[in-house]
Amino acid sequence: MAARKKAAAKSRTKRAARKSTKAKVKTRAKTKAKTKARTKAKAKAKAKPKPKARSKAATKTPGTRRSPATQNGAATTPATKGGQGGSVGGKLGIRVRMYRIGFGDFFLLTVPGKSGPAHILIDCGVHAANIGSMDDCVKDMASAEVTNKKLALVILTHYHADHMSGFASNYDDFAQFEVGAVWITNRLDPKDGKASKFMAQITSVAHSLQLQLGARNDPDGEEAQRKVHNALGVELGARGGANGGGNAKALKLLQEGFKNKPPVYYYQGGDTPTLPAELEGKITADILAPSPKESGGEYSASDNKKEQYLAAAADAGGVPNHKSVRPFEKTWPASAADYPARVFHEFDSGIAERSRKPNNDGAAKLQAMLENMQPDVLAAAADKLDGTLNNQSLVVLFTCQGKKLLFVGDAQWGNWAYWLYGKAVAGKDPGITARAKEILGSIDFYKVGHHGSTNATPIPAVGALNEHAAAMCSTATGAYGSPAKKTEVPRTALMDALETKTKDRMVRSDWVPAGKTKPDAQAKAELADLPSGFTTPGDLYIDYNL
Amino acid sequence: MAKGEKNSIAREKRYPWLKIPPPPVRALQVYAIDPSTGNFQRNYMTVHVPWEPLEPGPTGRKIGVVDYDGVNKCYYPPIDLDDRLVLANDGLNPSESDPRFHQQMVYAIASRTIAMFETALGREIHWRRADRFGGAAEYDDALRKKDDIEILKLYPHAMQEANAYYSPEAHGILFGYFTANKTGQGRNLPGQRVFTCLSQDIIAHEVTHAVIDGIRTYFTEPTNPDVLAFHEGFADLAALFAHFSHKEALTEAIRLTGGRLYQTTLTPVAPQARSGFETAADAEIGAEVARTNPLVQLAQQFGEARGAERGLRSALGSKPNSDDIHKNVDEPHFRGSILVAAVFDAYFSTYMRRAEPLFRVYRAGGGRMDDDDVPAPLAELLAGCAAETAKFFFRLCARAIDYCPPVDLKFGDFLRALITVAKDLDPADIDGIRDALMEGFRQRGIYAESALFFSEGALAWQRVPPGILPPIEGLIFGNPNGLSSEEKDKDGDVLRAWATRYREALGLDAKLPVTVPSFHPVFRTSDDGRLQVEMVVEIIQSRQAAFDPCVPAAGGFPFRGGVTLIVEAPEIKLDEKGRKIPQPPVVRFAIAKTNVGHESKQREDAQRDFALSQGLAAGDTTNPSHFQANFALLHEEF
Repeated sequence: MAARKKAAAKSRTKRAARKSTKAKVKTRAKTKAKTKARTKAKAKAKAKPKPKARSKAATKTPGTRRSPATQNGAATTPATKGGQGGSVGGKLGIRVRMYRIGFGDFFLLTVPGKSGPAHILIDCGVHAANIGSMDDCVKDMASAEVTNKKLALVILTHYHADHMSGFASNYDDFAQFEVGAVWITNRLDPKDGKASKFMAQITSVAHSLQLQLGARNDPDGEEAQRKVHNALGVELGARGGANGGGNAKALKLLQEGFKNKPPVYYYQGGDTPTLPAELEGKITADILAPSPKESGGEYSASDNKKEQYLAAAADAGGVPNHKSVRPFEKTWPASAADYPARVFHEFDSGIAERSRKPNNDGAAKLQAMLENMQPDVLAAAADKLDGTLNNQSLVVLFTCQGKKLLFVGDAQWGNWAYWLYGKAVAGKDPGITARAKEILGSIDFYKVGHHGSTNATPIPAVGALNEHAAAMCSTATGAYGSPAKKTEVPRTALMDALETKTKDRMVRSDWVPAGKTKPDAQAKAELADLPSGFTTPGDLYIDYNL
Repeated sequence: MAKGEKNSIAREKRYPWLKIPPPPVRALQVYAIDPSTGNFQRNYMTVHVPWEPLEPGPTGRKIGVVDYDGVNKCYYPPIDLDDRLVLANDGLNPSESDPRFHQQMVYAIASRTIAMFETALGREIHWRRADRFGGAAEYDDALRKKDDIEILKLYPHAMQEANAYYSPEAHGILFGYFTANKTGQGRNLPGQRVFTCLSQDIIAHEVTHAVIDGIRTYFTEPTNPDVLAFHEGFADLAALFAHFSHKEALTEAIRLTGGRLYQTTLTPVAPQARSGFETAADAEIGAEVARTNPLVQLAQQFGEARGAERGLRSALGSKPNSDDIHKNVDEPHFRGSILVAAVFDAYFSTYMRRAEPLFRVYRAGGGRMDDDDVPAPLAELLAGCAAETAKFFFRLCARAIDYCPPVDLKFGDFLRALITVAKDLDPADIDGIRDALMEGFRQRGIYAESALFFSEGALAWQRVPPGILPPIEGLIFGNPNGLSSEEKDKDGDVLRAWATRYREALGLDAKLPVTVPSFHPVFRTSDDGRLQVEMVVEIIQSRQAAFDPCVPAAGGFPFRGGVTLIVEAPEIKLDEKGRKIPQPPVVRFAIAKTNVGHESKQREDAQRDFALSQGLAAGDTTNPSHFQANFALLHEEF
């Protein structure tokens, strides 16, 4: 009973914290809305009531919501007639669809293929802040108007539930899909002994961390636990229930579960990918990252504080502060020698050997073990684990009809460093390479890395970003970090920087309602007033049309 | 060694009657509940634990306290309980600020918990043995293993965390310390240090985990939601029943509840003048506040320090209902609390039934029952009744572990074991204990899947009919002091050979190899005062089952079947000529979870679903420890 009460109290405080974040965001949104209002007052007045009315209708009659053709009047969307025969997107027939599922990535890129629009699915997962719209989103994507269960290419950027849980939870739906090819980060190549062993170790570490962190009852521990669950594909609270089988099951789908058993390729930065026939000659793809496996741990850094949108230098960066207190007022001096030697004997490294000759290192072993069981060490380990998996992200640059679209998965510092600098960088920015500058300066679309987190999308990358680019960020507030520590996701400072850089041509997945889930507080102002090129039926997803 | 001491030893050798025999018990002072309660409810008490010679730590034969602080990276000086000044004072006086008292208290409560189990089980316990994953192949290497726990270590200040847990990896129990909440901290100072190692409940709970882990090999393998919940629930049961051995607290609680021990609050010492103002907010002085009943609460200080208004858990959580059993299936503490409530329901019912004659005598003498305050002599009698009943119930529960199947335990199995033991311990059952137990479980929706009816006859395990299983020739029961190494080796061989030969008759797979991870000779005194000698044997078969039968490469989980045997020591019989002929040991009970046939298929499917839902499919599934419980996870608090 007491435990339950406490849980309630906890969620109460959490809610309060979230409220305060929202309040902050709101004020920011308000000021922004004001400036916008001056320029686009007319358009706003027209557009405002529409999404509201639609979202209501949608919750009442969910069956009709799924057809964008019937919902988007020709007036709001230039050309949304989907299906294999028609054309989608803008003039060039390119469309990026960002589904809202909570905290996770689910992107459908549509380009003109050899036989009409061809679809590329980049990740499909949700973990924290799951709003339960995955089923609806997958159904929408599978519908005859959208993909008709045909995907030219499926990409899994990295092994995290918030990028792959949909493949597990909707396994049976996906099993009916015909797929041209599958690209996966080469860290998940089962034929690569070293890589598989490393992944096995990582999941094993994640598993033991999960168990140890589960014992804790503090916000830092909970967040660390969420990171670990993300790596395993386990849902916090309703464990496994929603995800039904975890990351392993999702990976199995990608590797062998699609209807037509498409070829699966494992890539790393610098590889020349094999495009499926449908896309050959229609688009090109460059794999920019992850860093080659041979580079060892060189690019494993999960962050570089100097290049992040952090204000305070003393920031904890996700790792809780070491709040060591001394339990006693007085000093109680003692050493291992004060204890009888036999109490350490079981830890002696000698007893595991056949000779059973004690090495007299039992006390040292015992001390090391207890020190490693400390909560802060666990949280740091969870953080490291999270960064390691994110850095495995497959970063793909698509070029189609002269337009460049960059999808970076959840790349963190090490991953970026590989293709921004061509070397590991810690500390000050040595200046990004000409090639990186050229790429970033010319892209037309950027998928914001790691849900707008502070440790992805480094400052130099935003600096070099094309002013005409549009950006999409799939995120949800209140799932990770805290504004007090300047680690909140999405990071307000980064979001602001991106909006400034792209001249407000950045949208967030949580601006649209999804079924019963209301849009984020900020969205009321934003959704009514989407930048040019972006459209939405008012529910479930936002499109970017080129 | 001083010269004088040497002389006296030499003299004692010559004149043995000079030697003073060791005392039977060692008296040690501890907090009755935890430091927060002050001396209000007789909070200091002295426990008597079995005597053993102790080295600093204290370090004894089965447990050793190692006070290493993993955060501050330092040791605290160990206490020497054999120091004469310490001995003369029944140990150090209770103190929060002296780490050596903490060591003393941890040792005292751990020893008492072990003694409780040894008395109830009728045998010496031992800790986790490493050979759980190995079979005959590793046998020659099994002399001593890294994972064997010889001495259970107790780390009173291991970590800075509101947690305490049993860690097989650390060969012991880690107790944490933390800072109380700044607000809503209950009776603690805001922000004061709270030590989990000073709570009797927490110590007893954790030691119980270690004890069960030593008795049963696969009770840490979560194959269904009940397995870990059982571990948690049982640990709470042990901690709660220990409350009733503290006579002063018990008498006071009885006085202040009018004998209705199950009440959650005690009547205030000063009756509040105006009726209808019973909450703390309406009290004008401290004595008017109705305090919570410490007997039915667990870890009071801990709960209050974390901002809850009461202890962490209690004996009777919510009103009996059959819905809870289907809720929060993933949360072992919640599920465990259902088991605790079922047992305590039966306990309090039995106690009230046994106390009824006393109340009647009291009423007949003109006493009024609507008064909460009962006279001291009556309270005394009631306390005796409550303590005796608690002892009986704990013995019942502890012995029931021996009567549980060795793998894939469910609450229903435990109920069946309880009824079987209750029939054994108290065949006449004048107080209706079995009925109370069945009612307590039934009200909470705990049924036995394997029993056809919810009746005593159907619930008790059936004795193996004669002729089904042949006797186990050559089994040595030894004597109450334990088996020698040679006897153990021989018994292991005998049991393995027997089980292999008759595995089909036991309901096991005819082809899979058999392991015997544990066997314990048991010596109990029966009703008529005779010594009853039995042996509890675990027989296990394991195989790998795939998560996805179509894709074996996706990994698998261990699927086990097994049988618990209760083997009866031979009773000497007379032949026709009147000669005494020793009889071979026979199997009284064979409590099985079969791994062949339809039932096994269902079990396997259920385990697969459960493993997948717990995220066990990920990770290194080839590592056996992957499927073992980690108590750090279990212990959201302790």
